[in-house]
Amino acid sequence: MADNYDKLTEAEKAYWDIYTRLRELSDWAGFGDAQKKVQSASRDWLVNQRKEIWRAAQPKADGGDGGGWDKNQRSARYEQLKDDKLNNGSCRRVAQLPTNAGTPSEKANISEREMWWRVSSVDDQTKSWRQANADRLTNTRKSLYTLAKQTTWDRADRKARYNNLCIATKTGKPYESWSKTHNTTTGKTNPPPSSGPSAGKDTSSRGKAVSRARSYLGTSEHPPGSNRGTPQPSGWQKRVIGSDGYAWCACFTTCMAWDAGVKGGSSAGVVVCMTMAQRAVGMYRGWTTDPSKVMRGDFAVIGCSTCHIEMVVDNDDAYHTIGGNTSPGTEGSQYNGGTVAEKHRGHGEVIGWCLVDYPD
Amino acid sequence: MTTPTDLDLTPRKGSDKLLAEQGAWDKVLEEKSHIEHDLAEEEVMVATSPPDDDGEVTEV
Repeated sequence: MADNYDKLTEAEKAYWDIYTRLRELSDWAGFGDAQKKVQSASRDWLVNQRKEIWRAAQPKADGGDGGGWDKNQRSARYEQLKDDKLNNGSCRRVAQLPTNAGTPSEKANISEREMWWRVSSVDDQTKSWRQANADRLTNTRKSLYTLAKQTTWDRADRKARYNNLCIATKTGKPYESWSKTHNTTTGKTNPPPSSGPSAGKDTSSRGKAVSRARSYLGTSEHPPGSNRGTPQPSGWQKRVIGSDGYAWCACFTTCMAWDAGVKGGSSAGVVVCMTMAQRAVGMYRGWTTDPSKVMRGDFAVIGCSTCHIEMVVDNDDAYHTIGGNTSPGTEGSQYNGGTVAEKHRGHGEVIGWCLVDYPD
Repeated sequence: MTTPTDLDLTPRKGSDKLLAEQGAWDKVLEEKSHIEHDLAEEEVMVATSPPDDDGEVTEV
């Protein structure tokens, strides 16, 4: 089915991005009532706009303007705003802002802000929605500041969360510092310098997670089949679940992310990691079945929702992974093989990806 | 998109089934419950704190 997003008017593009972004967040634990209302109202606007396009395209005798379907690319715009497209379409303008360690509502609101970061208001209604989102984030930032000052910063990653809220509201030193190392339009990390002592070195947290995972290639259980081994994989299991002797694929991915600076909880259970990602809880910032949205350091759920999980190691190939408790080749158990190995998974093997909330 | 309420957390095969067989599944669910409880508690604490002027200028 042809994609005609680029044929939409500026107002239609804005409403498309608002609606699809909120729909993407609507399963999240922190998705609030105010966001639900905007999601519903933006959908209503798009549905009504499609009706208006149809009316305008009718012959003059039937109330149209005589321009027909060819005027102003009405045919393409009418197609783009069909229910099916709205139900499955994705937001086209989204920045990347840090939400690491955030509570559910902080994550949901910063993730809405990622859309507003790139989408300007087109009328009074969208202006009020954009402002309301910014106000929620500003109020949360100030309330968190009060709470931390009156009690402690050393709880629930308050400092990291406060910094993220400062960045999302373009405030203070955290924002100034972030803007020196990130593209302030897209939010992406600037590439490593081409000269100087850190030339070409990938110092991003995603880069660190992948390097760390790679450093453990070949690590195996001892004795084989025991789901134990000192220092690893027993150490990874103890950090995640408190003891060892268990299936450890999710413990491996979780520890690689933690060791790269990711905050927040995860799980030894694959399906639990998946549900946390779908609700954007703990170390996760979402779930996707679209490989183009996956970056290295995210986790691929493989086989089935309870089967196996590995870390993606290539920004350009979401099926290229390193996993714990698998087997290096095609022989041996892929989901309980006892070894850390690099894999190229088949497209039919991966059921989706847990998007991990890296701090940069 | 699968909604969270549609998800069945019962392990069926693969590594989660192993966790269940190894007696670790209750610990997995308990840990998840702790994480969500802690986050919910923090949300309430933030929501009930007055927004103070943190001395910064906000740009929208």
